[in-house]
Amino acid sequence: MRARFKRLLLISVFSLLALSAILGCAKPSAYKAPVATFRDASILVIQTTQTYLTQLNKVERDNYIYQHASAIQQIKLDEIQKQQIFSTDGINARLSALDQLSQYTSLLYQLSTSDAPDSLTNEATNLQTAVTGLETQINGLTGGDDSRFKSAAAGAFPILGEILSQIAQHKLEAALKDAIAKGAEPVNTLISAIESDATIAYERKRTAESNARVIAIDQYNREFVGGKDPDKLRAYADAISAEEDRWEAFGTAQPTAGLESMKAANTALVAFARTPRPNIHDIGSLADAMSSFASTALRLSTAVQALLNKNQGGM
Amino acid sequence: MSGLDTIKMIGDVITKIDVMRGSLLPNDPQRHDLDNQRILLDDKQKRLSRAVFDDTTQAFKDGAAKLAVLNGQIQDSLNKLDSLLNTLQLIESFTNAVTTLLSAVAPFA
Repeated sequence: MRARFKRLLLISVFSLLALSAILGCAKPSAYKAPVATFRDASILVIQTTQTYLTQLNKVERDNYIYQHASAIQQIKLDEIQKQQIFSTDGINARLSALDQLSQYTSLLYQLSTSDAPDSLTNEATNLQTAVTGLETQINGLTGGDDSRFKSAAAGAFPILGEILSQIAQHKLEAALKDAIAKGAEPVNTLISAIESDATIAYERKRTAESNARVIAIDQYNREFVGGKDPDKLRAYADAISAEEDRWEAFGTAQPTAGLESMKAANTALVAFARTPRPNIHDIGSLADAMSSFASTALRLSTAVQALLNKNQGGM
Repeated sequence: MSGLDTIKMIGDVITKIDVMRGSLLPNDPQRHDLDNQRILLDDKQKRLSRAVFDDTTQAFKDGAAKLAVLNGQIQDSLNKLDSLLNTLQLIESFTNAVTTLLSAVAPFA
């Protein structure tokens, strides 16, 4: 998959460079490759972020369950629910926000490079409706843990809505100008807020994974001190080995890298959109930024997938 | 140092404690002390993760700076292969400092 992805990316970049060299400046159709790369990489980052945010609830839930089991205490369902960091609505809102940001940036880029920008107005209208719906959904979030995300969303979505409305009304130049002057920073602030949540999720998961290493060691050592059954010792040794593999893989699966890379790609796309007549260097810089984003997203996604496989479906 | 950095630092100390715990037999008396510190720090990290607080206040900066110093001392103690008792005392100081920080920046967490 990685080789195919690289090959496609190289072909895209090569096509852009070749067209640019031949024609002096690239035809609009040649700009489609970077935006496709951006969307593909965004989808991978969104999936990775989803894994972590969903896992955060499981980590806290399992902590409660196993601590009570080891202390021989009653387990209560209402107490389990209190352990959840983010509600299902809160997680969905964050993922929808990332997806809509990715669609918005892609649209902006297409707007600046399309040979028929008017054809994008329908897309803008649909996205504007989705953004308005998401704003209402985010306003309805009541968890204390949602406040940082809500505040960042309140800064970004009204501006995005305004820009999308301008596109829908065919005020394309004004929309691009506003997107460049006002849009890039709030978009990155919103990604940063989601990045903070994903980082916390990762850190809590790290704490739980670290404990799992000790549990595996203890299991072996109890048998080592007690029964000394060679078959059991061998099985527990295998469990330690598997846990250490998981710990090693976990260290490479930090969600921050993907979202940081998404911010950089967003900035690069907006910077490109503001360039009136892009030259070969502008196209090269954009291709580099997209390539970097794509490889980070792919590396992260592969690492998270490896962790999921090691844990047979659950991290 | 940001709030996130502090959460990461507590995680770093927890993983150091886990390496120490995993190097002792489960019934070792010193193991119980390490287990207790681990439970306390895990709880503090969770509370800090859920709390919404301002990490630009002087109270936070002072508390976080103290944690950084203690974290460095714990690492030095481990590098020097100090006695477990000495390292444990530093870990207890770290846990107390986290409690103080949490009370200062997020008393209801």
